[in-house]
Amino acid sequence: MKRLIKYCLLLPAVFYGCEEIYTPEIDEVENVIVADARIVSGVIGNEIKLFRSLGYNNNSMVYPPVNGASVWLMSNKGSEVKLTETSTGKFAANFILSEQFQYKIRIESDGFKYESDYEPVPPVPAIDSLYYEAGIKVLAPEGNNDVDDFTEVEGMQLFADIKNGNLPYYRFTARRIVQYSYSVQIRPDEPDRIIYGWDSSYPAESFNIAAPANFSASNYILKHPLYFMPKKPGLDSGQVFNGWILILYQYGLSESGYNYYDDLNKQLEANGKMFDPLYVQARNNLSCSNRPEQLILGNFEIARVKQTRYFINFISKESGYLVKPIPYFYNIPVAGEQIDYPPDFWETPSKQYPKK
Amino acid sequence: MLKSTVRYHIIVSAVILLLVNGSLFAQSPTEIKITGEFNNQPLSDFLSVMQTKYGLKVFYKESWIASYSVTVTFNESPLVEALNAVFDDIELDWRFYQDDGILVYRRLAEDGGKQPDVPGIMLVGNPMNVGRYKTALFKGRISDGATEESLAGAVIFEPVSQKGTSSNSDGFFEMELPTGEHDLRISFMGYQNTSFKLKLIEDGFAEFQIFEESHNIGEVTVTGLQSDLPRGQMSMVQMTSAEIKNIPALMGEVDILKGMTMRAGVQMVSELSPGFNVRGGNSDQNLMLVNSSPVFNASHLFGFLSLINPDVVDDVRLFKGGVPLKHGERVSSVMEVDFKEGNAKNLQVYGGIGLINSRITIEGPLTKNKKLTFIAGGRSSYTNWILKEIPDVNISNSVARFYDATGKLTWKFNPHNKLSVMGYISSDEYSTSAQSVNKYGSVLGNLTLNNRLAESLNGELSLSYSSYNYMLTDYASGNAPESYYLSNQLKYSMAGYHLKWHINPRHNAEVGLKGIYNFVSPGEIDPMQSPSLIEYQKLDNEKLFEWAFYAGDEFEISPDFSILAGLRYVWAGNIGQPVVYLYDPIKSPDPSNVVDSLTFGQNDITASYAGFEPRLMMNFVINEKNTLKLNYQRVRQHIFQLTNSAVISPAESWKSVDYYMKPLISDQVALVFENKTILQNATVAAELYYKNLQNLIEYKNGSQLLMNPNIETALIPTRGYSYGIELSATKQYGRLTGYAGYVFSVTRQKNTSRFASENFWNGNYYRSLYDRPHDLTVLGTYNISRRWRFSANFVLMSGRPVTLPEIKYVFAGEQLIYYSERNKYRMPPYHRADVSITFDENLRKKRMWKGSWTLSVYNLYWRKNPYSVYYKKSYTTAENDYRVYSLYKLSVIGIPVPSLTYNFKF
Repeated sequence: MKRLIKYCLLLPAVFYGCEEIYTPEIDEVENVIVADARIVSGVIGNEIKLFRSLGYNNNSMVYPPVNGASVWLMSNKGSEVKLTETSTGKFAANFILSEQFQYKIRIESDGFKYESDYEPVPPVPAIDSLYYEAGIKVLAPEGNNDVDDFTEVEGMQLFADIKNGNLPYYRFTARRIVQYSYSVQIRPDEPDRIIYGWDSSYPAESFNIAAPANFSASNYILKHPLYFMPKKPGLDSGQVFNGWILILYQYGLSESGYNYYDDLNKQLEANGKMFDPLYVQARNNLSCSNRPEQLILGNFEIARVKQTRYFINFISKESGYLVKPIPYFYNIPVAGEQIDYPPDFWETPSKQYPKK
Repeated sequence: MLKSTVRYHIIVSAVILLLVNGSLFAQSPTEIKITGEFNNQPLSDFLSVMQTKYGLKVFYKESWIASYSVTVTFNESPLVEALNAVFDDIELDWRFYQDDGILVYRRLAEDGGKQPDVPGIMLVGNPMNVGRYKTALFKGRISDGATEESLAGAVIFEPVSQKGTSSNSDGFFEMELPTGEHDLRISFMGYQNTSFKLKLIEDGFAEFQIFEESHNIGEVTVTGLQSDLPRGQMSMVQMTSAEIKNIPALMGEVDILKGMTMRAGVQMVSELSPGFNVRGGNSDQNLMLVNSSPVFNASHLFGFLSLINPDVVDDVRLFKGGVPLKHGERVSSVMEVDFKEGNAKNLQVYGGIGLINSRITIEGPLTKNKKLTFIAGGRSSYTNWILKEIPDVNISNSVARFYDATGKLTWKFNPHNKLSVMGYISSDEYSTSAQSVNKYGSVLGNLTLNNRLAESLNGELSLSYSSYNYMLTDYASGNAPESYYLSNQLKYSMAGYHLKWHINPRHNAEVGLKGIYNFVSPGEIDPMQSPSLIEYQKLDNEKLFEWAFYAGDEFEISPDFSILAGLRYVWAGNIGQPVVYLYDPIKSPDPSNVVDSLTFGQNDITASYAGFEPRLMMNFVINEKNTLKLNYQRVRQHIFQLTNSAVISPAESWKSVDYYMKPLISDQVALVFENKTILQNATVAAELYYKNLQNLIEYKNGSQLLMNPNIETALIPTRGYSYGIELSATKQYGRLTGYAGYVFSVTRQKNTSRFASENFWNGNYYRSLYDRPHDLTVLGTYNISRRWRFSANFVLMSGRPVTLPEIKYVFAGEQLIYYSERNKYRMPPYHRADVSITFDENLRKKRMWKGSWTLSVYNLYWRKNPYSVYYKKSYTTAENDYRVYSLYKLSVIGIPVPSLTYNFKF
């Protein structure tokens, strides 16, 4: 009752309302070709994927691959390479691309010829400094504004300063590995044994992209928020938290690549509040050259990547958190447990690393 | 003294009219010839001769005539000529009355009648002319019997002919009536409904005084056809003060803009939002004039309240069409808001206490002779306590507050000459997070001088100023080197002179000249600290000079047919834009396609546009019950607000016409049919309109409007049209009053870019963002007793057009969408019902403190009307059916909102 009275007295309109899933009747439209064409120069395993879109109200999550298509990578110096189709709609694109050139792709499918704009090869990125601020993050469940249902998580927010970019557009992805341990008595007559476990998670936010601030006169990127690391993750009873390993991937992008992700974020982060723009149709760099009105979705992107790793753990209220760069890149499986002794990648504040 | 004299005269007149049983007179008085010589003889002797020698009955008061003598010689002079000669230079006048009577009375201002203090018949016109005219133009003035302050918006109604009108801002009105006896009813919110018996003989004037019934708090008068408007006036929002005041309001906050949206053809942009749409037009196409000063942002608290303090407002009217000749500048509508002049008799204080703001107003005379009056009012919010209660961390840490202050001085030299000075200031501040603060404010000023230059020639000099300032403080998430201020500004200055000439009863001419200067600072970025990573940037200022000359005449071709024809000539020039970029003509305009530029000096004309604005109104009185009106108008608009959101934010800057942007031109034709008998005691109207729009603006996908020096590259040339039919029924009298309106309308537009790829819908017509074909409004008030009244309203309208995703796909692991063609779909329909009940504490005139309580419930039946529809990625929960990607619908008010408001006056 008290809550009801409070609710009635509030100024609910501008900020606070009722959010519901909306399922309108939408016309069935012809599926169009989609190109997820991202090449990370110098990295093995790149694939250009061609598939068909689905109608918005189609419950399927399986996007049919495009049959019988051909893809070429072309430079602005006239050279071109036809990519090998490794499976239906997937084309291997493992190249070391020159920063001296610009590249585009050409796709032929069902008689249509699609081409991208030329894209530059960005320099290898780097972070100048990485630091944190301790704080509390509030997680509000979707469709529910009741503060009683909010979750407050104590932890630290990582930030990055990047001052060395000639082409200062970046995207970050990350893998967070939680280290935990617990003791278990396997046989009644034996002492407890220690289990060392780890598990991976991936940030659920939309694309984490960085560029100089609006209206900035420099290429500096200051205090770019990376990821929030909880002080303690949710673990089972009896498990002891032994710190985080953060694997951070920093991709250097072209300006057009950054703008495409920026448009996508505007799609993914809309909240329908007052003064919001009407909608954002992502502007890509692909078009159909022999029939301009033919739609193609997706984007062609050339990126460079740099991986960095950090060990993060809460020390004490006075000392705060430990954020220690990890110089040696062990192979870390997604998840697992090991008995009696920790795996080789197990991090501690005083760990010694083999020479590279 | 005058009052008692007049009273005596009226009593005499009335008694005579009622009691004297006139005998047949063999000879018409006009045929009588007078012969005789009067040499400095008392006037009483002359009158005595009239009685004894010519058999006339003369009525007068001895004390009136005692001081006058007569020196004149007549030789077979017609009686009329003789009487005129005798009464020519003295303060007495005469009238024939019935067949053989002469009534002598004191002259009054305007030669007018005065209401009787006892029931009787008011005589208007020369009794000699009884039967000479079928109809007559009856003019009058209505004032407060206690304060003598003119009452604007009082309704005068004649029930037999079902004709009605309302008084203008000076209390004057005029209406055409059949000659003969009438039972006039005068009503005004908070005043006693008063009836007057009238015998109308010919064109004439009368004064009326009415008295307060109870208290009269914070009311706003949105009036219908007033006497300063042509007979063919149409397309004007009509709403009585009682209706506005009685509309159940969200959280009890009565607001005139919200009231306006309850009328046919006027729609709210969204549930709570600043501005309104008129006949499918954008909200920047509405010219809101506060005492002739335009308002560029009419909202407080995100549109929860309008900028106008209802307590200081005297009169409001909105023209959807038939825009008065003196107005232009915006193509959709003109809203005139006039502040009160201040009580001429007593000092009064009144106000209201609400949940989110309180207001107080004081008014009264400043001099003993009561010629100088003032009104001053102010409002201030205290919303922070509410925000703190909102269960959202970001919001509970946010800020939203405002204040405004209003003042007006009026100096009435005499009844027909006055000077008024108005000032207004407002300030708003809000933030939705700790990262930024938005501030904006308006300053308005106006000086108006009204002069009667001759008996039938009135002039009005108006000087106006308006400025709007917006500033965003961005703290850059605490990253001081990247923090900055973003601001924009607009300053408007206007000087105009308007002449109205009542040439004769069949001609009302007007002519005027208006000069306007707009100064726009479209955007400026200023680093908050030094050194900073932020670069100071400023977009070039824009200077727009506009002048208009206009002339027109309302011509009564016959008593049943009148025409108003007018013409405006408008010139607008963009002055001194330093650089105009020229783009590769074979490519779509884009900053990367600049091939050359033009440079201009500070006072050079960068671009200018000129043209005529014809205005035409016709009024056909089919018979006493039915009227047909026709209107055509062209309006040119030279300044626009750039926005790519459905709801215009305070941050959006204005943009003048320039080298690329041409004036928005609207041509509208409308036809209205009015009937006063289909429904008993109600006026029924049907209005058809068609509007054609040239040089509209549409925005490219993802266009950047903020701080864009190449703004023309973000826009798509567009044209459009709208048409519709507006049906309404209004009942203004009786215990149950109300209004019902239904509108069917269509608003379409098409892009006309030379580059086909820029055009939405392949260059075909598509729905405008404000196309809402069906709109039904019903509102009513039932006076349960003198103290209690109940009000309710119901609104139903089509959902706003919206662009929805039709395709989904995956890129880099995220599910993304591709939207349909622009505005292809509609949001669900909007409907809502509200109720309120009001209790007036006391009704005694002499009681100092008068208060009233209003209990209202907004959104009675828990309707979750959609405010917006959007796609987003979110955490999976039971509430979103464990979906990561979904389309959501946001309802800002999904529950009934009760409120209790107290208003007072002392």
